[in-house]
Amino acid sequence: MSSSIHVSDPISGHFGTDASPYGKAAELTMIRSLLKSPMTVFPRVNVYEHGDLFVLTTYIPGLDFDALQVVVKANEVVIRGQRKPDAETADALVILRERAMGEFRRSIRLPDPVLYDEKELQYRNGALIMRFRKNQSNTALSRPDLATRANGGGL
Amino acid sequence: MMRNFTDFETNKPLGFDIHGSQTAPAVDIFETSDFFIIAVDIPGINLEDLDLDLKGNVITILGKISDEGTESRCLVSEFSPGGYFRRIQLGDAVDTRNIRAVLDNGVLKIKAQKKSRLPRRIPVLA
Repeated sequence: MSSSIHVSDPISGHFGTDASPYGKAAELTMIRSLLKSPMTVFPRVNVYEHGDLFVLTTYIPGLDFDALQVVVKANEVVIRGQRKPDAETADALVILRERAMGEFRRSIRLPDPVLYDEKELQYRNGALIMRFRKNQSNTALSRPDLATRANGGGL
Repeated sequence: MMRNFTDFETNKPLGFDIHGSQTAPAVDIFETSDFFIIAVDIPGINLEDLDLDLKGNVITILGKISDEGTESRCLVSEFSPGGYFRRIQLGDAVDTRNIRAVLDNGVLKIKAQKKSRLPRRIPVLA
């Protein structure tokens, strides 16, 4: 029964059942190559700098957006969340499973401290876009030597 | 053996970048008593940029992400938003006339009904 759907492509090859024409050895080789691939990093992140903004884009399809946590400490951004499996397939027989599920956490260090505003999060079509404004005042505070000089204090 | 690694239409070996910058999306396939359910991660794809075709018993998923040329400076690049391409061959147990698909938050869910296994009565004429 479970041999009714075959997937053939350069990444997954042909996963299937004992009836697979490649045999178990070939399938195991493909699974190993998948495990070694950078696919295991989830979610992948792109970071752009645009004027006084840092823009982080990441793909998290099927995200429970209400459960998403974004924590910013100075120049570190931590994204934490969960992808839950579809309830409809909870008891179903699994023929192929490639999609990353469960809890995830990514920590990204930006070149400058940033400010976080919840309203700057945008989630559309499984793409999460986060905009962080550079925190200029924080930059000064994090360097007390400069702040002291600016206040007229001397060394 | 190589036959199974070839493109269904062009008969060219796959894995040689014949589809440009498109990547193969991750796929889950489940089987219930009545359905096969195929879940495909295609984040970043608008509904109007998705082509989902069925030819014979082969489903083709093609999603394009338009390049929104930006003046931003890229600091970290862990993925390339180029689009998706993947083909999935359905077996004989799938009723290809009863396939529905939904795109929800970057997940394409294809639900294909199984063929009825009940015997069909054949009318006999006198």
